[in-house]
Amino acid sequence: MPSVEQYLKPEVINQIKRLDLRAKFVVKSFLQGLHASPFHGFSVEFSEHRRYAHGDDPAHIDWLVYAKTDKYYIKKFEAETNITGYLAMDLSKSMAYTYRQQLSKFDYSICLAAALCYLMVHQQDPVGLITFDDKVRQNLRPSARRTQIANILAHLSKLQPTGQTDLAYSLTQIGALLSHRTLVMVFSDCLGNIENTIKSLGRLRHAGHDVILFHVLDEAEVSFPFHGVVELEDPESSQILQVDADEFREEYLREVTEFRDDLRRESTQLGVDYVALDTSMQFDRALMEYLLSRRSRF
Amino acid sequence: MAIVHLSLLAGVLLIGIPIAVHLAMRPQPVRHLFPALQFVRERQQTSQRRLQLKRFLLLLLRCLAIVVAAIALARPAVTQQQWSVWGAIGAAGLLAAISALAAATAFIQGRGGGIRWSLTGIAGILLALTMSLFTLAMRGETPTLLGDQEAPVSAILLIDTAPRMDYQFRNRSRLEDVQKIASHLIEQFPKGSEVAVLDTEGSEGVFTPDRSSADTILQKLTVSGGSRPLFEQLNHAVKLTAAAKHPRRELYVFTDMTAAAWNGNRENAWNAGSIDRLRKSLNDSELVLYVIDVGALSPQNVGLALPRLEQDSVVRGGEILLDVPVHAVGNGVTRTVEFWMEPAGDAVPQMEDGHLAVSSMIKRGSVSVSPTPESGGIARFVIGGLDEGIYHGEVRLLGNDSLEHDNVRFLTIHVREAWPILVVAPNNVSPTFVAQSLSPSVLQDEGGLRFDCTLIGSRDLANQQLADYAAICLLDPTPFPEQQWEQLRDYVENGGGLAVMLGHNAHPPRAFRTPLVSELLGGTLARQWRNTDRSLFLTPHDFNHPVMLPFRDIRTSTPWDRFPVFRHWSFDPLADMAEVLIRFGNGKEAVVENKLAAGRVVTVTTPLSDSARPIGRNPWNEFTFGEDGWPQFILINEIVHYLVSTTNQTLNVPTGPPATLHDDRGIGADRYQLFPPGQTPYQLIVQDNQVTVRDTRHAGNYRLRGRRGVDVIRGISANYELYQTELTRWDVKKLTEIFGEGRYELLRETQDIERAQGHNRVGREFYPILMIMLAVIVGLEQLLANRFYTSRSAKE
Repeated sequence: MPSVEQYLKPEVINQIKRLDLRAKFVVKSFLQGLHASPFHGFSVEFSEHRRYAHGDDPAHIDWLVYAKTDKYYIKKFEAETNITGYLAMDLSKSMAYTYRQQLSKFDYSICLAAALCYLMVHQQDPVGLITFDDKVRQNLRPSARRTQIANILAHLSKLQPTGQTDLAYSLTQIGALLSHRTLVMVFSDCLGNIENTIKSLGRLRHAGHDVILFHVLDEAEVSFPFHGVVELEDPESSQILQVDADEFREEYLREVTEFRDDLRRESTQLGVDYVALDTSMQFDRALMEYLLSRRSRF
Repeated sequence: MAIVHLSLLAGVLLIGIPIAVHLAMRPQPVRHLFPALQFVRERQQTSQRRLQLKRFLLLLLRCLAIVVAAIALARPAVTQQQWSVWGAIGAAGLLAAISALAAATAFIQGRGGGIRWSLTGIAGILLALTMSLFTLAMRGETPTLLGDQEAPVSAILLIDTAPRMDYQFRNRSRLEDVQKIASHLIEQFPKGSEVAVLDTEGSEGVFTPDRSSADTILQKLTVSGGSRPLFEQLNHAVKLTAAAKHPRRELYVFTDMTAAAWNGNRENAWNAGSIDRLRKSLNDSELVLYVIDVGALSPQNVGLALPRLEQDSVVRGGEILLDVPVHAVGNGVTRTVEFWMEPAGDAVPQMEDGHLAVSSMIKRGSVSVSPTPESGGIARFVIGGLDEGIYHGEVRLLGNDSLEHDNVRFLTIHVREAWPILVVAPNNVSPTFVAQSLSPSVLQDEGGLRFDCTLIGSRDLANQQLADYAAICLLDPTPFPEQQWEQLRDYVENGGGLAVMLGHNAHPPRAFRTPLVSELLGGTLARQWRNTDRSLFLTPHDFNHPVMLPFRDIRTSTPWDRFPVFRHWSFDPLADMAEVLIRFGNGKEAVVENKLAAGRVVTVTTPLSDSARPIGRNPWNEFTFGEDGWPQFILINEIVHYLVSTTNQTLNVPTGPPATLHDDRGIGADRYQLFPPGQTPYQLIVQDNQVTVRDTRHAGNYRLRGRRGVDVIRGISANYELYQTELTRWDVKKLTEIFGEGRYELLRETQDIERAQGHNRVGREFYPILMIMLAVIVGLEQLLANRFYTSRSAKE
């Protein structure tokens, strides 16, 4: 009998065509694995207080806790024990790419987003959906109701990655849309100007939002598996470049690594959780990253 | 360099195909969608340049493969001698190609500028070196016909026919081995070839297209005493190539590789000049030289060298010393040497039943000799007690060895009467010193004196039959009538010897300054030189003249200074023909030799007859009364002996050159029957008072029988010269010094000769090396092409 953990593998989950089932399988497999792991008991325990943040009403400060800890803590409210999350999905054409994996970057991101949606709703966390390419295209407001899962999954299953990318601008737009402190989970390949992307992420952080950047690349974009002289065509710009892949691989990998390292370094400095993924990786890493991020907030 | 299939070189033009394919049908690379192009874009330009360089390299490899294949199929070849040169060119070219490849790789891989340009520089230097070597090789290349093994040749077979070649090894003589090998060579020469067979006897040799006749000449070759060293015959063989009609010319020198074969008896046979001349003529004649060594590598032999007689004639009753050197090659052993001689002189030769009938020789002595290869040995015999006549003898080395020709040596001795010497002295001159020096009275009873002196006064000279004397001594002569001088001149011109010892009687001097006397003496009498103290004496410097030879070994101990000279005559001018044998301390001539036709005149400018206290004058010197006057004794004897030597015959000659017997006094026969050793007798005619034996190729006793009322018997002996029987091997490195590195092939076996012929006719081909290069190039091309154009299916 196959282990449930196999559903964390993209190639296995690809066998399941319904997105809701995919999400359910992924989350259940993840949680089952989690119970058997050293992280047991971690995911479901929430704090009674949270640290005071700028904008909170000082009237809600728990002075007893302050007397004990000399730190400001806000009293626990039912609504505030849950985190509002937004799934920000990149619809650019480049996300539709895969070279030899079962799932494209977009499919991988959808699957991951669905799983996160499922997980959040089950924890009574409101979750919403924003799609963007060169600008924000759709915005499904967050809700913690169970029907939200169906709504989001229905939206996700209809998405098609066809547009041009402007991640920086889209992130800026997302920041403008959000009025409360929100966990923004960005699914993108981040291809484009890294400086602008960093600036936009910085704005989101300055607005008090938490950001998890799921940087999804195709396995081929990470390993450059080509041989001989090849022509490479950019699906967005249709630009074609000719290279000797064997000669060029080393330099390419160096470039990719530098790019991801830069992104990670800058994200870390901004307090953005950076999760480098490629389409050959299991989903649990992304889910774990979410839970770690959630815990750090309370 | 030669190309066997020149037309196939046109295949080089096929490089147009890969170029066309490269330009027109370049395979399209596989196209992939790839969103992360931004990581490619920045370095793509550099990659594109490298890609173009790779494509160029690929094209270059493909073109190179076609070029190498075309060249390989055309089968280029070079001579064995040029192989190393072309090998160097190939090595330099390969290194240049490798350097160029490395430089291209450095460019492709984007290495540092230092490495790239260093490699490019090295490749450039190596390429320049390759081109320079190529140019030099093409300039220095002699046009040699290569490639066609079956092209006809003009072949010269130069065969050493010295008696050494009869050395037996493996039951065959060296000459038989030569005949076997050479016969095989003649048989396998390509159709249409011409062959010339030369021996070392001096045969002219002509090219003949008829190989059977060439083989016949070859099989008729025998060893000959007239054989000359190879260094003489090589030049003749090279000159023969002028008559060759085929461009491919081959010279085969068959030799036993003995030092004597190449040098003869000359230590400096191969000097820089002769080597240069031979090399030049070899190069000019375009000959391919094969030296075929048929000699035994470790010869074993003991033999006799040429007999050394003090002189070929001896006075009746006298003794003569015979030394026969014995030499050994290999292991020296003790051998017995015997001397045999005819019992009586003037044995009359005659033929009986086709054979020469003479009295048998009797053994006159026997010695044991233990020669060593380093020092050899000597067999010494004393010959004496013989009556007048011609005696033939043999020196025999007992026992057998592999070379018989040097086991017997021949000699001829003429036992004669003492030489008649006419001593002419004026009344006021004493002939005693001279007469006693030439013919000491105390020895006259014992016999064996070389000279028989007749003493007369000056006035009696006109009454003498001068031709009866072997030499005439004029002691302190007074002026003679012109007629008398003419008689003396005629006597000298007919081979007589005249000694003139001038003194105070040469007065008036003008009587000795006439053209006739000046012609006779070899100079015009000038003046008397006087020296009052005892500081002037004979100071000889040159001891090579026969007169001075006895003094050569005692030059430092001869007491010339004990015999002062107070007066002497001088000549001014001295005739060009005249030679000063001894000078005084003042540089003036003391003894002068003048050659006049067949005779000689020796003039002493101070008398050898002055007494200690001449009446009415001072003595001219103290030659005759000083203490221990042996130098003058020897000097007088040697002067007179030198003068009579004109009538002295050389009876023991080397084989080969013609030998001449003189009859200056006209007392012999006008024709002779010659009995050469082992040959049929034949007639010889006397011409100009001499008879010449032209064919002396065979060692042995040559007997001549003539008639002048009674039988006139004469004879000579001919012996092989040492170089014709000496078996010491030569250092083969000397051949390289003579011919140059790679300019000849030294071979021993038939199959080696055929292999060398193949190399030199076809040349050494580059085909195998080119095919290896082709394989490497194709491999590289495949490797590079695989990296460029990986198939889509394989990757997907």
